[in-house]
Order: sequence, then C-alpha cells, then structure tokens
Amino acid sequence: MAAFSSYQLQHTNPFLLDTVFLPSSPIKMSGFLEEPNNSCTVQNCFSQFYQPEFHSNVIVHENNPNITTTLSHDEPNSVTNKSTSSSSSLDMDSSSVTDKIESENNKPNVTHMDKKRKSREGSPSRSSAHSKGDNGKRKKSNSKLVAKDEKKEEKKANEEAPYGYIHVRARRGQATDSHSLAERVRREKISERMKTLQSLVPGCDKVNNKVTGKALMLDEIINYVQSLQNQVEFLSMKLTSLNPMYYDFGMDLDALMVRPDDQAVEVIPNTNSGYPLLDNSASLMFQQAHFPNSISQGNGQLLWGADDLRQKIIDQSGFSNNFCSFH
Amino acid sequence: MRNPSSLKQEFLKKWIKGLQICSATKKKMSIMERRKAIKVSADIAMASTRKSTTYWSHALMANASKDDTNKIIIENILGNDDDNSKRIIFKKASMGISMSQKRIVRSKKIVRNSCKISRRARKISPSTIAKKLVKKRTQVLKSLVPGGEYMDDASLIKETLDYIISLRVQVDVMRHLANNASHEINDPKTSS
Repeated sequence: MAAFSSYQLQHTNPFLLDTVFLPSSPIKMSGFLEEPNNSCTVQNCFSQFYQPEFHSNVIVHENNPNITTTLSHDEPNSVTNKSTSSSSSLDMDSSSVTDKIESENNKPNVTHMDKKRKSREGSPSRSSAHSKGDNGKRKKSNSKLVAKDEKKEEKKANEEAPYGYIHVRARRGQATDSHSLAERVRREKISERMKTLQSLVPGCDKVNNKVTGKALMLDEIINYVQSLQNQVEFLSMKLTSLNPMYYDFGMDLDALMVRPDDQAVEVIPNTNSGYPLLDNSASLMFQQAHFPNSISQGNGQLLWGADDLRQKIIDQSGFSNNFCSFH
Repeated sequence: MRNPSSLKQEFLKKWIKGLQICSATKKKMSIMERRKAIKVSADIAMASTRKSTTYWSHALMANASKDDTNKIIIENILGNDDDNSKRIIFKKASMGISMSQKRIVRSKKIVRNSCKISRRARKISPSTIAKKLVKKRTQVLKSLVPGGEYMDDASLIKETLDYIISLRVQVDVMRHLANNASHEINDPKTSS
C-alpha cells in the first residue's frame, strides 16, 4: 500500500475523476451548478503535494466545457465572469497539459483509474490505507459507472448539460456520498452570496478587516436591514408632518417632482406625529381642520397668518425628530 | 442589477399614484391614517417594481392586500400588468399561506421539538456553538424579511439582497422628498 501511495506522489496524475452524477437525488436542485471556485480551492488542497498551477490548469480546463455551457440561469453574472476569466488566464499554460489529459482520458484501463480515484477519496494523509479499503468497496460500483459516464459526459457536454442534474466535483480528501456533496454545493452557494452581500452592506468590506464567517456577516446584515426599515418608518412620519393630505396631495408631490426649486408649495405644516410628547398637537389639529376650506379658495392670506404657528411647529418637529431617531 | 435611478423613478411614480388614490378615497384622515397610507403605498410601490419576480415582494403584497382599503391601491398600481399576477396575489392573500408551505412549517416545528426533547449528552464543540449562533441569526433575519419564514437559507440570502436594494431606493426617494418639502417650508415663500 505504501508503495502504491508513493507512486501517486511521483506520477502527477491530473485526473481528478470525482464527478458524480446525482440523477436521482432526493434533494431537488434546479439548474446546473459547476463549482466555479475550483481553481482556487484546488490550489489549497494540492499545495502540499503538487505544483498548484499545474493542477489548477488541469481542473479548469476540464471544467471549461461544463462551466461555460451549464451554469444555471439564476446564478449571478459574477460567477460566469470569474470562471471564464480564470480559465482564460490559465489557458495559455495548459496546452501541454491538455494533451496529457486526453491521453489519459482515452485509457481503456478503467480499473486502474478506479484504484487511483478510490485512494484519493480517502483522507489526504498518507496513511489512508484502511479507509481506502472501506471507501473502495462502497464506491467501487459507482466509480466504475462514473468513469464511463464521465468520458461520455465530457464528449457531449453540451447536450447533456442542463437537464436537472447538478454536476459536482469532489475534491481530494473529501467524502463523495451524495449527501455530503449536496451539502457542499449548498454551502458554496451560500458563501458565494454572502460575498456579494459583503459588497452591498456597508461596513463589511474594509480591506484589512474582512468579516468572514456567517455569524458576523448575518449580524451586520440584520442591523442594516433593521436600520433601513426604521429609516423608512421615520421618513414616512416626517412626510406626514410635512405634507397636507388633502385633495391636492398628489398635485403637491407632482410639483415637487417636476420643479422642486421653483414651486411655492402650499404646504401647511401640520401637527407632528401622534407622539404623546406634544400636548398642543391635539389643539393644533383642530385648528387646522378648518384650513382645507380656505386653501381650496386659494386664499394666501390665511397662510401668512399662520406664520408664527408654523414656526412653533417647525421647532417642535425638529425636536420630535430628534426623539424619533432614538426610539 | 438594475439601474438605481430608473428604479427610483419607477418607485416614485407608483408611490404617487397610490397616494393619489388614497387621498381620492378619503378626504380627511387622521395623522395615523395618513402615516399608514403613506407607508403602505410606499411598500406596495416598492414591491410592485419587482412584480412578483421575487418572493418577498409577493409576500409583501399578499400581506398588504389583506386589508380591503389597500386592495384598491394594489389594483391600480398593478393596473397595466396582466391580470394573472393580480389574481394570484389576491388568491394568496385570501388563502393565507399555501398548503405546501404550511406543511413545511409544520414539519420543521416537529423536528425542532423532537430535537429539544431528546436530551442525550451532546458534545459541545465550538462548531456546534457556531452553528447555533448562525441559526439564531437566520431566524431573526427570517422575521425581518417579508415572507422569509418559508424560505431555505440560500434563497433567503438572495431575497435579502434584493430587499436591501429596494429598501435603499425607498429610503433615498423618501429622504429627497422630505428634504425638498422641508426646504420649501423653511425658505421664504413667494405669494402664489
């Protein structure tokens, strides 16, 4: 066993054959997902054993037909851009590598490849002998089918692509039963979206203080959503105190929209919100109940008469607004 | 993502429409009613910019249309769109949450209760603590986002993304409006 494992080390076999079809997965995943982060993660896994660029070339190039044709429609565009850009950057180096891949691909020696794959399915440490045995027995039938299917799949990747299957590639040293694969797909979806959220929520994307980890990110998100909702409440309150809601409410807003500077808006500042802080609000409300009749006649004099009243209200509104922000 | 300024214009137009309808139906409203009308029409306008493509907008409109007065607003705001979406929203509102979602909620409750009941000695590793924290926070987030209780984690995050953008648009528009209106008050008026 030791001899065999050392053979792996020397013979840089780029053939990571752990694609698994999930045709009958109980978890219904619509769309088609290839792992677009393969190049980066492969580097992490392999840095200890192999040259990283070598393998990232390989993986990306192998994935290329799959990725470009089979990304699901509702994935954000950033995903496709990432994958295609990474693949294009590495394409130049991969020409020699690809020849090797294809030669390996066409090897009729399925069982040989099976053994390598099985051993890779175990833990990354060299002492994976016993686990390899168990894994091998369980996965033997699967992997044989997978090897054949994968050849076919790579050749006609375009046709088989988007029919409800999720193609996942298990990396080295990770379990390959369907449940954990599905788990991993789900986890990566989530982490990807977290990343886009990081750019959106302020305070999360400082260069030196990148908040990774779901809990902290979720904390930030929750705070932000709550603050936005509070702002909406507060602003709607402010707007009620500023604008009369009479028959010409709509017209007022139209005027504001069209020419916010010129128009002299006939705004009578009404009382503030029904906060119990202000006692005069009730009395003012009764007074201004008479105003709509006067306004309808376009009577400007009454407006000016209410000037000092308005000043009082403005002061009060400023006061109450400060109070609002602390609730 | 959409262009934010076009979103803002769309939102503003729909909001004004809703407010006009509100003021047309009721001549005199109290303060609280006005505030509620403003907020509700803003919410509906915001949700209708997404036109039920996202889950939260659908849920928001469904909740809003439970109240009869809002139904008129919704109908008029959605006016030009096809009748299908309107019908779906009203039906959903009347039915409450659909049967499948009820099943999901019920089964989740059962699982949660059974986990609480089985008090085996569980190892308290840092990963479980982290998972618990994350779980708590997703619960909170689900309560915040409208219609969030019936979504799984991944789509929940997508919905919050969308929701945050729309909320931002809403806040921006309202703030501009409020600033302009307050400037009009504070500046000396020319006689009309």
